[in-house]
Amino acid sequence: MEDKYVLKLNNLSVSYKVYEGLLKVIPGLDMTVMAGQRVGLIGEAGCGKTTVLKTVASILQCPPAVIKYDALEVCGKKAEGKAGVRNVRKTVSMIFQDPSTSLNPTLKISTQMSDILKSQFPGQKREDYQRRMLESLQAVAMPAPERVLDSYPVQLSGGMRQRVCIAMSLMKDSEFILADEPTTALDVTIEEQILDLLDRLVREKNKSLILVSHALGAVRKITERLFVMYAGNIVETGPTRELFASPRHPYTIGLLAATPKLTGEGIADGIEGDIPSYLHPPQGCRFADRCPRKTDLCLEKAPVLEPVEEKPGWYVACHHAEGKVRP
Amino acid sequence: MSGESMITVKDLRKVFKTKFGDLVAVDNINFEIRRGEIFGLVGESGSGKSTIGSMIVGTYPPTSGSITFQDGRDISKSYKFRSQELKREIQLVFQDPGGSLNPRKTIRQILSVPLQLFSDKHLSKSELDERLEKALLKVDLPTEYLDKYPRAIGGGEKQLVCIARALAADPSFIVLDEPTSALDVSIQAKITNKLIELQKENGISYLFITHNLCLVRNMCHRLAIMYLGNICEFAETAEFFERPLHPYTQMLLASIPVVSDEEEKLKPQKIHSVGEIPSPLNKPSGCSFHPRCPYKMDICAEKVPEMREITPGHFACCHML
Repeated sequence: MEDKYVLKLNNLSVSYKVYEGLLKVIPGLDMTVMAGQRVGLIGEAGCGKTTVLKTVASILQCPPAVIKYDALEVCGKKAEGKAGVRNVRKTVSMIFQDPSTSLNPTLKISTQMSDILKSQFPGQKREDYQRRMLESLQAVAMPAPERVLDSYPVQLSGGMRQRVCIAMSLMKDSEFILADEPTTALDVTIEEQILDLLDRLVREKNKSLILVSHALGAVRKITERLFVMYAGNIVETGPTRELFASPRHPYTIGLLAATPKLTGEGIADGIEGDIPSYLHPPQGCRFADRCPRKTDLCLEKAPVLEPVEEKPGWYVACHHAEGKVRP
Repeated sequence: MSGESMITVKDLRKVFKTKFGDLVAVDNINFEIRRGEIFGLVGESGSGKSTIGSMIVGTYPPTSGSITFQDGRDISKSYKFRSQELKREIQLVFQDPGGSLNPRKTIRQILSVPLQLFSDKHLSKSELDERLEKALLKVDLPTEYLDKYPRAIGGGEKQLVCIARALAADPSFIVLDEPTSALDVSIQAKITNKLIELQKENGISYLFITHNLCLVRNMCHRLAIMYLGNICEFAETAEFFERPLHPYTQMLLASIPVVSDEEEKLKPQKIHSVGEIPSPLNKPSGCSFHPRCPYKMDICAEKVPEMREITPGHFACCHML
C-alpha cells in the first residue's frame, strides 16, 4: 500500500462548555487513515464517535465545543485558520444518520443536489448539472432517477432518502467519505443493500471511508480496520476481522459477548454500569469502574495504546490486556 | 412447558381508514401463545407487528376476527370495555423508556399507580412502601431509586422501571414492544437476561415484538415472521434457524450483519436483498412478497398462498413449498 494519509489527527482534545462546567469528552486522541482504507469506529451511545467525526469534517460548532489539536490534516490539507477549515469542509463528504432530517423537506431533491454541484463546479450549463445528478443517482442503483429528482424528501422511503444522501456525497468527488451511522434508521434488508452499495462505491473509486456505528455487524461487513472507542478514548485498534475474532480490551470483549448471536448460545450479562460523567472524568482508566480486571493501577494511571505482540497494527489501551508487549 | 393456551388469535384483521383509502394493517393472522412461553413476532417496519400487540392489549379493537384469553374469554374489544381483572392480567412494555415514564413524577409515584389500582383492598402507606420496594427489587434496582425522577437514571434503568411497573400489576401475560431497540448492546443484554429470568420465575408469557432476529434466536421459544400484514412463516425457534423456508425469511436472515465467522456460515448464502417493502396502501396482488422474490412464478402474482404445515410445527405460506 502506498504511504499516503488521508487523515492525520494528533492529540485531539474536545470539551463542551455547558452550564455545569466543562465536559471533557475527548482527552487526547490520535487517528490516522491511509488512502484507500475503510475504517470502522465503534462504541456505545455517548462515547464521542460523532464528535470525532465532526471534528474531522471541521463542522463541530465552537462554542460550545472547545477543540484543540496538534495537527489535523485531511487529504493533505491542513485545518489551520478559517481558510484551512473551509478547505477541509470542501474536501470531505459526510453521510448522516437520519436521512429524513439531513435533507431539506421544503426543497425538491433536484434543487438540493444541484446546489452542491453549483458550489463545487460553478459556471456550468444546466444540462451538465442535470446529467451529473442523474449519473450519481444511477450509481446508487436508484429506481426511476428522473422521478426522484422531481420529488420532495417526504415522497421517498427511508432507504431511497439514504440513497439520495449517498449520491449527494459522491457528487463532490471527494476521496474521503465520513459516514455517521448511515444504516441505523433503516430495516435490515435495506441496511444490507445500503452497506453493499457503500462498499462497492468505495472500492470501485478507491476512496477512503470512516464508518461510525454502534452496529458491530455492519462495521465488520465493510471495513478492514477498526477503532473501538470508550468514553472519548480509543481503547483498541486493529484489523477488523481479527479483532472481532479475538478482542483484547475488556470493553471490546464485553461488548462482543453482549451482542446476541445467530448461533444462539444465550447472551452474556452485558457490562454493568454506565459511561462515567464527562464533567469529572476519572483520573485513571475511564473504563475502570465497569471493568472486571480492575486493580489499583487502573485507578491511578490512564493506560495508553500499546502494541500487541506479533500483531502489526494492533494496539490496545489496557494495563491488563493479554499478549501485550511489555516494556 | 404446558400446552395450555394463553392467547389465541383467529383470523385477525385490522383496517385503518385513511384519507388515501383503507389501509389493511394486518390480515388473516392466526397463532396461539402457550402458557409460560416467549413468543417472538418479527418483521420490518410497517409489517403490522405492533398493530397485533396493540390489539392484544386493547389499544383498539380488531376490525374482524377474534382474540381469546386463556380459557376462552373473548378479549377482542378495546381497553375501556375490558374488566378490571383483564386489564391487570395483560400488561405492556413500550420501546422508548424515556417517553413512557412521566418526567414530572418520581419512580415512587409511577409504580404506585398499578399497585393501588389493581389491589383488592386499600393499601396503607406502610403496605404500599413494602410493595414498592419489592417491585424494585424484582428488577434489581436499589430502593433509593424510588424518590428519583426518570431523568436522573440511565436508559437501561428506565426500561427496568417500565418492566417493574408492568410486573407490579402481577400479570400473566406481557406484550413487549421492542423493549431493547432504543438501548445499547451492553444494556440490552442485561435487560434481556432479566426478562428471561423473570419469565422463568413467575411463569408468565411474553409476546416479544422485535425486528432483531439474533435476539429472538436467544430468547424466544417459538416465532412468527411477518411481512406486510401477514404471517409468512411460523415455527419453533431452533427449527426455524436451521431450516428457514419462506424466501422472505431467508432474505431477512441473509441480511443480518453478524460479528463472527461461525454465524456467517449459518446464513443462507444464495439469496440477496433486493427492493423495498411496498406501502400497505397499495399491496401487490397475490403473494405480497412476489415483487422482491427471487423465485417468483406466474401463480404468485395471481393467488395468495395459503399457510401450510411443511414439517410438524413448521408453517409457511409460499407456492413454492
